[in-house]
Amino acid sequence: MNEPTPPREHPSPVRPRLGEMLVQAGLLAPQDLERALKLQRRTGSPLGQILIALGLVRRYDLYRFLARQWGLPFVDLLRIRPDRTLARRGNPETYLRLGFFPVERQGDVYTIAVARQPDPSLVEDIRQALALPPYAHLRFYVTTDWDIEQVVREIFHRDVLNAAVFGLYYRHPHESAYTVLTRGQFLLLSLALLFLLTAGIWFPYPTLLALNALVNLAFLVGIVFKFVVSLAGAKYETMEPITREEVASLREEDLPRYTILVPVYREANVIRPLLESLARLDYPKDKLEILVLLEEDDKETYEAAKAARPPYNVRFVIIPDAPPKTKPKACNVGLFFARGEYLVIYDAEDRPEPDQLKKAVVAFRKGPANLAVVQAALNYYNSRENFLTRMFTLEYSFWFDYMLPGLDRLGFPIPLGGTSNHFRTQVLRELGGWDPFNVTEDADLGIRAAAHGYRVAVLNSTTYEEANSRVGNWIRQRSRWIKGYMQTTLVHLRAPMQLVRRIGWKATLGFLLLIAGTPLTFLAAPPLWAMYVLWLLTETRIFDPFFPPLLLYISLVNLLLGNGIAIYLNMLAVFKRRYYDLIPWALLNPVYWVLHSIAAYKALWQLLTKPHYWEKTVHGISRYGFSENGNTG
Amino acid sequence: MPAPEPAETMMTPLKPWSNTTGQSPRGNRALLPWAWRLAGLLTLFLPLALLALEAHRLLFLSNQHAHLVAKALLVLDRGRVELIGFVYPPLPFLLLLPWPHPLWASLLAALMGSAVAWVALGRMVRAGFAPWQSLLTLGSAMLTPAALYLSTQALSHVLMLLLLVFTWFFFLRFVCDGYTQAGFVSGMLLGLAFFVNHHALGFALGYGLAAPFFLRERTPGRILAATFVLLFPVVWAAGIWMYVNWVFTDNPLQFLHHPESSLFVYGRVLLEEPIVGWPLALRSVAQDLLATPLYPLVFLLVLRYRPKRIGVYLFPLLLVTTVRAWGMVYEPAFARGTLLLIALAGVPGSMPRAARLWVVLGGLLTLASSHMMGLSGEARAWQAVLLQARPRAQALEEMDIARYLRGFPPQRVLLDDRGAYRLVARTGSARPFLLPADAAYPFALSNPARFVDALVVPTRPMPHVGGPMLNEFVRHPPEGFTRARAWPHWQLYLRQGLSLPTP
Repeated sequence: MNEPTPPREHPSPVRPRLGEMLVQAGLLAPQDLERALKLQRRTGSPLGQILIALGLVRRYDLYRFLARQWGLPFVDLLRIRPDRTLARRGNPETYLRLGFFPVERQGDVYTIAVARQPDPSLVEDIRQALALPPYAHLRFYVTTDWDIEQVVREIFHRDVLNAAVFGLYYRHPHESAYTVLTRGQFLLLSLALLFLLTAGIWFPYPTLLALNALVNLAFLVGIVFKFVVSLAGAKYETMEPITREEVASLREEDLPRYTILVPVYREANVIRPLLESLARLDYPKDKLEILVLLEEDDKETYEAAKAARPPYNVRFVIIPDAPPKTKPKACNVGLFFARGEYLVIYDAEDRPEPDQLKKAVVAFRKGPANLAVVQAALNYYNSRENFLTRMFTLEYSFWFDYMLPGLDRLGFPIPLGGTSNHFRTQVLRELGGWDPFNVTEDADLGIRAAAHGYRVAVLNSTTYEEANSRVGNWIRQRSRWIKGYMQTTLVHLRAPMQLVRRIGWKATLGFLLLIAGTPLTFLAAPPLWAMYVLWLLTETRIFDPFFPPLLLYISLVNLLLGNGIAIYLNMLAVFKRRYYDLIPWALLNPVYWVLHSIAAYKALWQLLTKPHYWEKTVHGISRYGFSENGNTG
Repeated sequence: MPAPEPAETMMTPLKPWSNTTGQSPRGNRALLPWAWRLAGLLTLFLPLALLALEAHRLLFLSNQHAHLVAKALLVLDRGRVELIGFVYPPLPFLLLLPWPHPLWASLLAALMGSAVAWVALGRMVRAGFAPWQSLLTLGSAMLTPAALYLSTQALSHVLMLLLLVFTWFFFLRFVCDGYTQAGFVSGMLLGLAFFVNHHALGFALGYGLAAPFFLRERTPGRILAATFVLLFPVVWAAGIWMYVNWVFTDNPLQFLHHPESSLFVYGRVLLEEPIVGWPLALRSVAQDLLATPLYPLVFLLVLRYRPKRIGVYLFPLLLVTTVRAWGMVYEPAFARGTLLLIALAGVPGSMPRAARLWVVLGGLLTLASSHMMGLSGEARAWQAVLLQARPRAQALEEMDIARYLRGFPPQRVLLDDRGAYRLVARTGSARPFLLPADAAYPFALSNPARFVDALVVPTRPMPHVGGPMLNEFVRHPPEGFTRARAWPHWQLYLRQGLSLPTP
């Protein structure tokens, strides 16, 4: 009775071939079978997977014939109602991973729907997963893997949502931005504020002087840091960590399964170009699963996605409508269903270079064992649309082409960009996925990975996006990023000495200068500029007491040298991509920085009033399109 | 993709004793690269340092060093660094702040000079010259009066040459090899050079104009980008300095007019041989060329083997001639040093052996010619002091005055350091003096008896210095003062009833 129960169906004496069966049934043309078999020889993937990925056979039909081949009955899992109580004996991750779902129990007989042929090891796993008694008999039916996924989503709707929203918070509450300020932080900040207020009233001059000194010193250190890092990045400008030859030497049969997550919300106008862009990726379709993450209340985008008639390797995952309504929450739901060895996020307006996935595979294979993430560069295809897009392009080119490589080279933690982060899926799960309460979940994850001993590296591949071309939209987007940086700073400084112990002093300092320094810089700049402009226009002496000689010199250095260096460094941005015509625009950086400061104050306000609110950026408003050979802007 | 091997840069480690295959003729006795460099630098530094010491022992003090030392003393005594708004060039001045002493200025100059020589030596070795050829040529160049003078008595100028030569090598790396980082370094060096010498702007313009001729990618965009990278820092630096001058003196162009460091001939108080106008400019340049035959000789070699670079090669000559013609100062020693350096740095790399011998010959000729022609102005005086092993009368006079001035209480001696900075430097402290930088100075000038115990004025009025009131005192002491001591160039007035402090 402890022996595995054989399938009830009588096995055929000679196992028919799947392809032949489909051809005989008229569901597949012989030449299509030939094509699929050729591809199978190249990629080594199962034939069924190839047939679905190429859109030659419907999933439903394929599994029906697989059932015949395995000598098992077929069941449409969506038409019957599986026993929920039975289902809850196991956990949904196991069902997805092993490809089975418990349907019903009749006495000692358990009906199990499977999406793969049962073998002794699967049977054993099922018994363990459901904690079945030794005398239990298993009766197998074949169903599709999508149906299993669908049923899991339906029955474990709450669990998936809970895991997506609170998974990180439950596992590592100190790493979640769900709590904006811990008790300790609140106390410390309150005391500091109180102290400042008291000191400001009783000793106004020394207090303001001390504040002024602190701000100016911080500016100076910040600019020196950026100078050193960006020139370090420039030193390796021509280096290609992953070469074309390495990519070409990859054999398709050795390529792993890759998951692409595409969170979309109110992007009906860009979903079709996105899918077309993803279709251009140079990766075997049968090894690529694309999960389009659609919000439950976004019917318009859902209809647009369906109307785009996506290929069979594209699946829609409906994200339950529940707070927080953020991209990282959606990505966590997607992570739940991801089956790839590697995983990447793309936004709706992204246009990645076709060989990006293969480059990532090479990077992971070449890299050390603790390499968890590789970050591709982001740039814009509408860079020349207007002032804003030009400045944005300069900024991003500087950041991704020089700062990130510099941080990488000098051993500083790398804050991830919003998209085109390629993960080892298993490591991503270990880290707890994304923090759904952090509006720059990417930056946070980069620091979290470093804190857990993982490395982030830079990939020499580019994803082109749409640069914000409208000031209002830009400020909304930028305020979210700055708010996210503030959140990330607060989260990772909850236990500063622990952070130092984990990543070292140098990396901690780098984190502070980049993540904390950015919002602080833009918050502190307007008062200083206001003082300066007032002095310039009126020649007032009221600020003289707050600028004793040494502080005056530091301020002058910041004003004159600091700004000059910042503008000059921004000119670096044009070289790698040969955007030479943008170089004069670097002179307008001070104007651009004003916008940053506006966004910073908005971010601060939102941090206090609605910290988890996701300020949605509108896409698809550019007049410029994207052509296959790159930037049309 | 491995980086292309740079042809003429300074990025590869220097092995001056190696042949071109990189193998040491001494076998495999490995010394760390930095040890080689340090040893080489010391070897070049020591003789220059000894020369500086000897000149110091003989009480020689160049105007440039005196000016810098005086300003450093002033800043340290008053504790106000914003006084650098009155000082140009600021960078050499800042280097003197740790020890504002004429000897320190000379030793620093010697260090810079040896660094320039080291870089030039490395350049020659990489260009394929045998060690003996490199040493002979370089040695000849270093032993010219101009090189020796610059390397011991002209910190600003030799620092400028050092920055220019570094800029050149990074510039080549940028335009020829496409290394962006090198372009930004060369731009920043040019920016830094502006804080050393006015002519950095001119040189930067030269680099900017030369870039299109060297760029591999000669597109309008690339040329634009290269120009921005090279010119932005120096223009920004000029803007910074004008701003600082405006903030502290209300005149953004104040730094162009200081009597010692004025860019313009008419602004220089102690300039002995002003050169203005095309005839004088051309004549002076011809003399410079005669004193440095290496330069025209290398010009011929460049024309033969690297004709594309001829414009760049000639640019410094054009710059020197033009600035002089327009009434700006380009001292003869500095001009000769510039031409020498350009010649050494500009030697074409791909030349036959025979052509290299011409360079050696050019070096020897330069040594002979430069000594025959000698220097002019203050540099000539320096030469005379060393050859005669005797201090100048002027130096003895200044030391004598300084002995008295040291004994005065703080800010009790009225003195205009725009003309009398040498006295401040000789005194070794700015404490006894009430100077134009001090708020009380104009009041003291109109009523000395109320503010000071003594005045030091020249025996003849100085143009651009002092103003009518101080120049009035040149003829007779102010009310309440008598002439206590007089020297050939200076006179000391003391308040009636006071006696001179014991030296």
